[in-house]
Formats: sequence, structure tokens, C-alpha cells
Amino acid sequence: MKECEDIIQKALQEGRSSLLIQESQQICKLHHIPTPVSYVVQNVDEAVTKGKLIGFPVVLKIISPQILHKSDVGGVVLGIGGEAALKESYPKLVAEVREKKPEAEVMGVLIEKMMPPSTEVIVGGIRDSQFGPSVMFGMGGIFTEVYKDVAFRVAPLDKIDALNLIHELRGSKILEGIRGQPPADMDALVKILLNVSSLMLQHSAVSQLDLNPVIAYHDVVCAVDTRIVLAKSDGGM
Amino acid sequence: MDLEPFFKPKTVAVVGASRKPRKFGHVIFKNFVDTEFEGKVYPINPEAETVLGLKAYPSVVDVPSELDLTVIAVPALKVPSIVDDCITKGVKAAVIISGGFKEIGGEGAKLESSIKEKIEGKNLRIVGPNCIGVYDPVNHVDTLFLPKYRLRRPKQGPIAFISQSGAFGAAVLDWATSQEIGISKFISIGNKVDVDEVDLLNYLADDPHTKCVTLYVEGIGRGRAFLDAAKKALKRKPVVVLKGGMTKAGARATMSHTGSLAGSAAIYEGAFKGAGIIAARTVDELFDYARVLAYQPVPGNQKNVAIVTNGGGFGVISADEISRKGLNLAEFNSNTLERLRANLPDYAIPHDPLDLVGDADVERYRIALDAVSSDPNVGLILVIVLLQTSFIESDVVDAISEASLASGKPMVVCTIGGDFTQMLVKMLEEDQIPAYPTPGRAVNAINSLIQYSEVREIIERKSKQS
Repeated sequence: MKECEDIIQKALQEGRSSLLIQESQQICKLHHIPTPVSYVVQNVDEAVTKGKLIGFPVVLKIISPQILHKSDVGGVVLGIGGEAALKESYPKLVAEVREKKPEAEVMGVLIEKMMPPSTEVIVGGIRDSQFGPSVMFGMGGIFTEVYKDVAFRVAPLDKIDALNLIHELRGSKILEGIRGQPPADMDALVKILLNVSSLMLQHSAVSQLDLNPVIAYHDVVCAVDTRIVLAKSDGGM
Repeated sequence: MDLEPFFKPKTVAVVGASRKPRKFGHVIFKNFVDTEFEGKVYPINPEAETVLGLKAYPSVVDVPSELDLTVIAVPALKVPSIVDDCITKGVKAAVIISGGFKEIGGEGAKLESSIKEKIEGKNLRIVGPNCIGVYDPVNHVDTLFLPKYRLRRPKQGPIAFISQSGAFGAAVLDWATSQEIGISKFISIGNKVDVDEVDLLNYLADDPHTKCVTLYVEGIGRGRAFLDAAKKALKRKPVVVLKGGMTKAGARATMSHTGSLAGSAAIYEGAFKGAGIIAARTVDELFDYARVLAYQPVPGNQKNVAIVTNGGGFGVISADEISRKGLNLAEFNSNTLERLRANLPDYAIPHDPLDLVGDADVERYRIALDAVSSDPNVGLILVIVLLQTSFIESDVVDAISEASLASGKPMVVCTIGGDFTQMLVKMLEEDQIPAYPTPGRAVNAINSLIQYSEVREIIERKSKQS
């Protein structure tokens, strides 16, 4: 996909080893991976305009090529419920990042729809030195952190592979709906895995991809945070 | 197939065929002379007139016939020029036994790359260097330089075994012989300058003597090609892999969450699972799985397990293992229950696990196995037979084999004990009924068979999908 490659090549030419959040989101969108509605804004007034357009609550995320782990430097504010809170949060976010990471070049702020909570999963892509592009699926939160409830498949995946991958996890029962919760949208989860598989196959410069978390609802899924790490060469294939 | 000359050579030369009995080249040459190998074998030794009574030649180029296979057992420094000779002669296949190449680094690595360059674009295929080569009991090809009193050679059987490590391979062959386990082909691939696990998997997929392929590998060079070869082979036969060195790869970049979770073990596991490869974690598992997969039929849609035992405790432990693996015991149908009630003593309660009780004799096993194995609710049968009682004689082996053949359902045995038990285990092995010393290993083996049947089902679904 040329549009995606253009984004990747531009980042590589600028000497960046990872994509900016809006670039990652754009690539995901072009690969039919659902992400929240979002806009890049440069000041608080723009943020307010876009916030009203999106509808509250919203999330703010700092945009900087030097910041890969945004929440470590206070670069994310979640659950902004209205205009007043947004006006207060915006300057605080920028100030905190400036203080914690003064050398970081701030290129704006991403404002996006705050997605309601539901079951969280993690979807990843990696270029393995022996097997090449591979896809990861895991149950989110503590299931990933503590129980390492994740599993891999080598790309390409088909529907059967994707379903087997999902069901391999110990926590997959949660996705089938427990304690009165509706089951997660399995078709959408399968699609996201297939789309990550083809994304990894198509773009050899993408060395690692994180969709973490992906929130799974009963009728849709949404990758609320995306990260794409680039490799300078075509390594792995 | 371009690998055929390794396994079915009509003419063989052994370079380094010394007159001294302890030299590797001598042992290898003697293997071809002593066995039923039907082709012609030539000793290559510039310093001897004859070796073991056969005329020796100074070089492969001097041999008066075409050469299919050349086994090279001379010091590493001499190997490149012998490879040149092989190319000149038009030799089709060479096994380089010699060590002192990539595994020692430096000059050795350079020697190995020089060999790689020499064969580039040529017809010569090479197994090794730094390996013990090929053992094929079907065609009596034996390049193992270890004398037969140290390393006994297994009989012919349905299991192919590829080992990256020569020492591991040799130990397993010796052990397999002691267990009456048969081998279709053994290949020690060593440094893999040319022929690797991918080539061999492709070859063995079509080998009519091989029903199950087992591999011990440390590193897989061509990961994606390996998975493709495995997928192709799995349409016809199971592939079991023991992967050494499954510790976390330290060098992996961890800029992403996915990267930090992707230890090499996790990716291997996913890659194997995705392809349908059965992963063994231990040496025990490798052959526990290979035996049941090579000997027994794949279960059909019915995958419930019936346990028939003469020991209550082993029955209970097996039932626990079955549920731990997420498998199910069978529920006998009314016909089976009726037959069991009518023909077994009152104190043998007819449910799964079916405890025939300590005084069970062979006849009781016959009745039980016949009834249980013909029950449509039963997919697989685990026969526990503890031979410490005097009620059971060795014809229990016939009872089990006959029931297995008659029902066409997979059957495995669990039995543990001393000499008498070991004798019966070997008899069962002869009849291709795998026996395991513990309920855990028996149930794991059953699970591997079910796993393979699921792999087959997925392959079928995929072929319909596309």
C-alpha cells in the first residue's frame, strides 16, 4: 500500500525509528484496523473545537518523536469529561511533558474519543529473525503482565489460524462472555489479526507493532493505542 | 529426488578407509562391507593397496565406476580438495564426517565456507560436516563411525529421526535398539553446510518407509521454508520436533511490548503450533509421541478415552491425567454395559475407568477389550496391565494386539515393572502397540495422537476453504 509506505519512508528519511501516533493510526486505518476518532491539534482552542466535534469524554496524547512510552512522562490524559476539564488538562499535559522530558520536541497533541471500558486484549506484530513476520495475541492487562497469556503465529494467518490462536489463550473464555457479560465480537477480533498479519507482510520496514490495548466490545473492537517500530533494513524476511 | 543417493546408493566410496581398525574411516568402510549392503563399495586410501581385501584407490577420481555416495572421514584441512575431487568425478552425494569446521570458529569456519562456495551451482549434495551421517536399515547404508558393540543399530521401523547433534543421535539409536524401536532413516545433519532439516523433511514426506518424522534441532536456519516443508509433510504424516535451546533470546530488541513478550520459545511454540508440528519438550516425549504416532491409527471424530485396568490406583491416576489434559473419559453405551455385566465378575464395576480387579486374567482382558473397543462412545483405549500378579501370562500381548487390529481404534498400554514386564513391553513394541511406564506418559502420548488428528482436521478444513 503506497500511502502507508510513504509514511514509513518519510519517517525513515527523518531518521526516526518509530512512527508518530497519528502516523501509526493512519497506517492502521488504511489496513482496516479500527482506531478511535482522532485529530492532531496545536493549541487549546483547536482542542476544544475538535473535542466538541468528537464528543466527550476525550483523551489527550502528546506527539513527539522522542517519546515512545507516553504515559511514563505524563504524556496521556484520559477521561476528559467536558470543555472545562479539557481547557484545564491541555496546558497541564504540555507542561508536564516539558518538565519530565525537556529535550523532547513536541509536535502537537492528539485528541481522540475516549472509548468505554470493556474486555482488553493485546495484538502485536513482530519480525522474528528465524520465522519472519509473526502475529501475537494476548489477553490484556494483568493477563499479559503477570500470566504472560499470549501466543504467537507466523504470518500469514487465515481465519482458522486466527480463531485457533484466540482459543489457545487460557483467558479466551473471557471473550466468550462470562458473568453475564456479552461475548466479544469474534469476527472483528479475527479480522484485526488477519489485518495485522497482512500489514506485517506488506511493510518489511515495520519491525514491531503494538495494538495495546485493543478493547473488545460485543459488536466491534477498537485499537485504542497503537505503536509502530521501524527497522532500518529489511531484516527478517 | 536429489537426496536419494544418500539413502539408496549403488556405489559408495569411503575416503579415509584406513587399514587400522580403530580409525573412523575403517569402521565406516567395514559397515558397508559387513552388512547386506547390495551396492559396490570402494576404499579410498592413497597409502594402501587393499583394505579388508578390496582394492584401494588413491582418490575418488580413480574409481572405475560412477559414484553415488562418498563418505569423507579425513582431517578437516584435507576435506576441501576431496570435495573438488568429488565434483570432478561427478559424485552425487557426500557425507562429511570430519569435524573442525564452523563449530570451532576461525579457520574452521573459513574451511566450511570454502566448501559451501565449491558446491554452489554444482550437482553434489553434502550432509555434514561434523556429523555421524546416515543410517538406513532399509538399504543398509551405515556411515556411523561408532563400532556396533558400542552403538547398536536399530532394526527397520516406521520412525525417521533427524538429529542436529551426532552424539545425541548416536545415544538415541543405541537406546532405541534396546527398546526394539525401529527406525526408517537416521540422519545426523551436523553443521548443515548444504542439506538441512528442510531438505530432509521434504524428502521424508514422500518416503514410503517413514510414518512419522522426528527431529532434534537447535537452530532452524530457514524458518519459513521449514514451516512450509512441515505443513506439506503433515498432510501425509506427523512431524515431532524437540527444539533445544528454548531459552529467551537476549538480543531481541524490546522497544515494543510485543518484542519483550516474544522470547524465542514463544515464537517457536506459535510457529510449530500454527504449522501443526507436535512439539516435544523432552527426549522422553520425542519418542513417546513418535511411537504412538507411527504405530497407531489416528482417532476419528470420537475422542473419548476408555481405560481398562487391573490396578485400581493406576486407573484413577490415569483418569486424573486425562481430565488434566482436557480430554474426556468415555461413557459406555447400554450394549457395552450389558456385555460387561454378563461376562465379568460382579465386583468389576462396569464404568470408565474399567477396573478388571487384581485377579484379572487374559480372558477377562479379552472380554473387556472386545466390548469396550467396539463401543461407538469410545475413541481411544488405554490398557493398563500390571504384570506383577500371577494371573496374567504373556498372551495378554496377543489379546491387546488382536483387539487393536479388530477395532481399528488407537490403543496404548501402560505398564511398569522388572524383567518380565520389560519382555512384554518389547513384544508389544514388535506388534506396534506403544507401552509407557507411567499413566502420565501414556496419557501424554494419547494426547499427541489426538493433537495430530486435530491437525489433520484443520488441514482438511483449510483445503476445503481454499
